Amino acid sequence: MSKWFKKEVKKITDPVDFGTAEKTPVSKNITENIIGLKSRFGNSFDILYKEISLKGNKALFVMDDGMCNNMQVICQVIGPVMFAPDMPKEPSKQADYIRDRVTTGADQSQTYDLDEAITDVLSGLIVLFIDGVDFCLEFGVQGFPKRSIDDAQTEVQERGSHEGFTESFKDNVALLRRRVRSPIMKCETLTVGKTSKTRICVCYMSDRASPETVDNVKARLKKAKIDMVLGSGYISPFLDTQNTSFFSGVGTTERPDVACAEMAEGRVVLLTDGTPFALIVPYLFVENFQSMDDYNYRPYYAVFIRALKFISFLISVFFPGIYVAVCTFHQEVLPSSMLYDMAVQESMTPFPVMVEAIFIHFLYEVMREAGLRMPKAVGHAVSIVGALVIGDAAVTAGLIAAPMIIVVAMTAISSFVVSQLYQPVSVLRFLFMIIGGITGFYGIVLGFGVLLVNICAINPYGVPYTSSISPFTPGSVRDTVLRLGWRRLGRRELNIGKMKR
Amino acid sequence: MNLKAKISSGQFFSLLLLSRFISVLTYSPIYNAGLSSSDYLAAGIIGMAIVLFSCLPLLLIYKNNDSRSVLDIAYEVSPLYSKIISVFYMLLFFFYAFSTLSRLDLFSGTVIFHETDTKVFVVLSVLLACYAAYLGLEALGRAGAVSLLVFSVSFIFIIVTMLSKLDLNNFSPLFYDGPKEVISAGWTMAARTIEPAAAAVLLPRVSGNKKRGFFVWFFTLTAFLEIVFFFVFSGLGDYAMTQLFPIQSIAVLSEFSVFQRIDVILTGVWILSAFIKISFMLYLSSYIACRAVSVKYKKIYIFAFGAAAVILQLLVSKNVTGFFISTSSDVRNVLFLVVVVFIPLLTFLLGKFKRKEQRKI
Repeated sequence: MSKWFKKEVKKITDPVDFGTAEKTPVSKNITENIIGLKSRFGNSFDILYKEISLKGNKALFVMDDGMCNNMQVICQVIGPVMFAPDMPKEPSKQADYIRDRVTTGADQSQTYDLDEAITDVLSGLIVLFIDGVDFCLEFGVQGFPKRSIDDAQTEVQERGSHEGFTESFKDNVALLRRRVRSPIMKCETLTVGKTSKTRICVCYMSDRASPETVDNVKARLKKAKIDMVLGSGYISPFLDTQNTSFFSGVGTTERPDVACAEMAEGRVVLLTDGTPFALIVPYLFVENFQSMDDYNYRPYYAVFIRALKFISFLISVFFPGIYVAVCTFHQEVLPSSMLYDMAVQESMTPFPVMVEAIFIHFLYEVMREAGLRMPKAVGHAVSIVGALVIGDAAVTAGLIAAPMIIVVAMTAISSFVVSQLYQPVSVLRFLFMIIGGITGFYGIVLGFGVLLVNICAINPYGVPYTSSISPFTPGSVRDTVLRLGWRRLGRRELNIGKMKR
Repeated sequence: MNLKAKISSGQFFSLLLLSRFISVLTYSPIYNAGLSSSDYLAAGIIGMAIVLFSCLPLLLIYKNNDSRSVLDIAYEVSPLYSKIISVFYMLLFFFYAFSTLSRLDLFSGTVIFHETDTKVFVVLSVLLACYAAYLGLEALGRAGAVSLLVFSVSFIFIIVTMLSKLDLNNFSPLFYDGPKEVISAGWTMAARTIEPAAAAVLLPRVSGNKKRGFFVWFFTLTAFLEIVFFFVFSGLGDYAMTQLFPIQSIAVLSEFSVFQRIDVILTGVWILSAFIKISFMLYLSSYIACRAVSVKYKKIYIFAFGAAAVILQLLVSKNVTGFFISTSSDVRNVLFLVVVVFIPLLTFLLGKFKRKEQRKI
């Protein structure tokens, strides 16, 4: 029985094996290459083939129409190749001549692998096959439609830069390079996803990032068995060292300045082609309470904001649960006058406080989700209906007590203060409401204890997730709960590698 | 469970402090019937002096070599001897896990849920404690350090809110009933300090300045003991003698602004500390079992010890006689003498003798 169970669990939990890609070499015979290309591309209308003759020798350009800049294709590649003077007659010399003397673009390469050539065609390169040559030439003429650099939508800053990452891989790297003009910033690319062949850029500062961490990240990405990578969230579980916690040791950011700051502290930043969210490893718990604005504000205000964020986090997780526990088990905690008012309000509602709390928070989550996914114009309507239903009608109808509305409002607003932790917070809140309703303060404290141990058990890449709080590091605490001025912060470089246990 | 992971000296002694704080907070004067209020202050100091004296064999062991635990040295003396003393250590930590659970049950039954059967809470607490122990020493150490911070802030807050309730006239003259009772009470307090035994087992897995950590632990604990007794007896006087949990009773009197029942904060830190202590004791029991028997069943040991603690608690909680097994002074006295004093001393001497023999060869 246990063997059968283990086998079944293994089937579910084991990563899917997509097999290993077989390499097909580029043939000297161009007809074979054409057959190979057409058998793979089929009737895809966006793949263009242009056959030409080079001094009587057959040659073929292959490109993806939507991925290339037509002007560059004509002016930098096809035009110069077709009208090149002094073109040699021998095929291999023709290839060398074209590569060295004819084309003007800097982004040139050659490959002997037909599958690699196909991937490059689909990435926006134009590929040239020449009859009698066992490799093909590739020219970078990418020019696909993309969104321009815009404000970071999920990490709005008051005084920092307004630029956010976009879906374009190269633009994102350029955004980082513009901020760190030093050769110590390395950007290495890997391909993940058997079908999607998504490019992932591993960025780090060679003098600060721990080499083991960089190698570990690359190894994990290479081992990742996944078919399609359409966003950074797809590869995040492969980078997470502990997947049994509500909290993750992999952070995200939409801001290039944040990514640079993280690299400066020895972290590794991963840019995924096609998504404006960069991943950061290793990521610590306290980082959820930091923002770029903290470093632009005066230190005393930054400390105040961080304290505010910590308190908001605690409110958003525990406040509804504590309210339910107090109303159900520990009424003596409340001052008599407040207790009397609340008892009057609660006595007029048909549900127990726990059910009421779960119902109203569930309703709030439904409206939040609807508001997020709906078109903007309809989203406003949802907000109005929500405000009317929750805020007024439910209380007037006697379904929900007015203090509960205050609890929901306070919790909802607090949860947006630390937006990075919204996912764990929203689920934990429900858990603590149930615990508070069944076991009171006793259960809430026990739950807090378990949550605390669970968070403390996370060790992303050998660095404790709760670093600088526990284990307490006096040096780094200057930029965690506190935020000292730049005169003192600037004297030392915080390095995550030194926090390794 | 990583059996080699190290924790910092601060984290380790935070765990030990929390572990002992919980015993202080749940101290019942019924163990020292006949002792007058101010004598408790003297008994506390005497008790801690006994603890310091009892730790001498341990200090001697770690003075010579801090990379080997008592169990390591015992193994070098004889593998059989190592297994025998492992059983004692295992029993000690298991007994304290059970005893803390028993207190938690009593506390939740008398203070939190007066009319509810607490069996479910006992099972739930142990299950969660097993999970915490399963996550390992590093996780427990870090959580212990954060819990100690929460504990300290809450305790200071409670103390500040209690200041108006203090009355020094509540103290009786010192040694009013003679010194014998005071020394006996001091010994009872010392016998409840089994944390040096945890140090005997785990100190090689602690990094940082251990000597400083030990003395900070010792003096903080002494100060805490004195502060607690001072507040309890100056606030409640002889009325404290009639209370099962006098510290809880004094906390009930404290008030802050319009809020009158600040004791709920004490209840919170009480439960949190008890949870960490049970987890730590279960971890220690299973760690020793791993070393003495086999690492193969490391996951099973934790849950087996947890299940044993629950069964024992459910059996003894049926009547008062059963409950007194968990609080028995005799059992604690024997365990303290054997595990904290005798075993380290014997191991130290045997180890030294063995090394001399080896040198001769």
